[in-house]
Amino acid sequence: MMTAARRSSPQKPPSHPWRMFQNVSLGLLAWLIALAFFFPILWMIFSAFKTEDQAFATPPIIFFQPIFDNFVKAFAKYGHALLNSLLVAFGSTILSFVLGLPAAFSMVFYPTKRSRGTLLWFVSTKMMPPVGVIVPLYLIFKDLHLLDTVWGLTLMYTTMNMPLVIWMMHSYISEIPSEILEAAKVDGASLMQEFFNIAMPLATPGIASTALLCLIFAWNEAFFALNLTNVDAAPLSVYISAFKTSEGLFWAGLSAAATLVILPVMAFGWSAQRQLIQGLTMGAVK
Amino acid sequence: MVRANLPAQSTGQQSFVHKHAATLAVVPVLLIALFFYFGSTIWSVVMSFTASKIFPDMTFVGLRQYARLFNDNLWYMSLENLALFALGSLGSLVLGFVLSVLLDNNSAGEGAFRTIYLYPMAVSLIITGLVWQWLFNPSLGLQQFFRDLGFKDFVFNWVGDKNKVMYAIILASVWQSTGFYMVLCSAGLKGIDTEVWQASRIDGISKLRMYLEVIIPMMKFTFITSFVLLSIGAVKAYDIIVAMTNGGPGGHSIMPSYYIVDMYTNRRFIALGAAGSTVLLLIVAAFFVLIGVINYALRKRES
Repeated sequence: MMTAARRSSPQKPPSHPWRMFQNVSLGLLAWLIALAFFFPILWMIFSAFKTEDQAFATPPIIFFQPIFDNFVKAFAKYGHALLNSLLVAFGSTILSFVLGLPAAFSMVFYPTKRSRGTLLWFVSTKMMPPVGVIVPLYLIFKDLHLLDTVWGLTLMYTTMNMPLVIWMMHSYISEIPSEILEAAKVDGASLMQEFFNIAMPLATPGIASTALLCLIFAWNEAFFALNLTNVDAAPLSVYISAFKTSEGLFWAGLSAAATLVILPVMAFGWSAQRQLIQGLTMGAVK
Repeated sequence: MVRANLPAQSTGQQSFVHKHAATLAVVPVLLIALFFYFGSTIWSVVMSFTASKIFPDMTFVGLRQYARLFNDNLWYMSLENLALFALGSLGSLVLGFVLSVLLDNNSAGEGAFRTIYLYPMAVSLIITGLVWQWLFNPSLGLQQFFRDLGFKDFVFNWVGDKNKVMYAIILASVWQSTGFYMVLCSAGLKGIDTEVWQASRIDGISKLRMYLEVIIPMMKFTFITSFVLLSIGAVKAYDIIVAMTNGGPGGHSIMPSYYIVDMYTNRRFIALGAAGSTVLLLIVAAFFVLIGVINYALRKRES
């Protein structure tokens, strides 16, 4: 569904003054909105490089000597939470692929009459309000000593991202021509070879954009993190929110920690925008 | 490969083995989804008919918890806020659509704009709440900023105002999700044939009329998808409340998810929380039935 060529309204050359005025004002409007959109993020990142006094100054200081102390402090103070975020995001993404990818492959190439229904059924788990599942899971996690552990949260995020992996990889794998697989089968390829040597390499772009989405969703998730972790296993954003009242007077320090949360995603977003957009629209529309 | 010259007949048998082995790959994910989501949801529904307080307890009390729930003013407030939030978050679809149209007509900076509009989406709702809480802070944020600029009567303390706190939350969440709906609408706009535009130029129809009368109806399925996602987002809204207001002031920004978790954790009343989550589940189900019917009717009319 995503075609490389742009097929939307082609540009008309600005032929007369009215049209030119229109184009300029539309461009201006786009810039203004963009500025308004970017302002909160920019402000936070700026504050992260200020001293606490500068961050609280009114009127706000626009020109200042950037300092890095806040980041040094943030690493010292929030380092373990940052590590939790990384472990949980990568761990759950890998696990959801280990579980979801073979399932998606099997549902595309070896469909049964219930495959379509099963697929929708998986996706419907994403529609369920998470408050409806939290208590039993909390009680089970408590019994299994998984509360406030990186393992527990990784497991929870795996169940959260798995349907997404299946849903999206199902679409990507469906685009692989079945003749390729038939040919391999005639040549006597084993199931493992079909999966690892044929389907996986052909689905690599899909795997990349899906994995990116999973990473970001796990990185930004808060409901389960807030309710299943406390101090030891809390990911960075949740850890920050727990401390925001007591740290409310240290806006520069909080900004630095918050910048650590958003920077990796922003960097990803910048470098892999195309894959990300493709993934987002595909995940939603298909 | 050694097995390259196997007789053709064995592929049938081989296929049979493959098929069953492949089906096995679905079993673990099926069990996980069954256990974590469906099982747990059903458990909560069952709990809503019991007298469970801190611990699950199987004493059946019929619909008493539901009666109790709907006697709680706070629950009504949370439902009202849910409706308001759902309505307000339509703003991100409207704004997202307008932005996608702007981008579509302004290819000069398209890439840069798209990136900028998308950036808030990279920001988790917790951090979104943190930043906006600060922007709404009367002595530090935008209120002070505009007063310093000379607008002495400028009031922007929405978070502290019980009548405006929901708008503050809606504003923050619209800011966060607009980029996503812009991307969805852009994909929808790109799916529209060039011929439609060429025809409009030949007929001399203005662009504005084209968008209102032709393009928007053509994109109805994009909008339906958006409605679904927006309403799921509204039902799940929790992080942003925690990050911005914790339901305050005086419960005026409480939303169902927050109410239910509060019932579980602070008021230690499992059954009542479960009743709330069951109502929420019913709301979602009703909404999906509605969307399903609309979708079906539209597709039928189309074909």
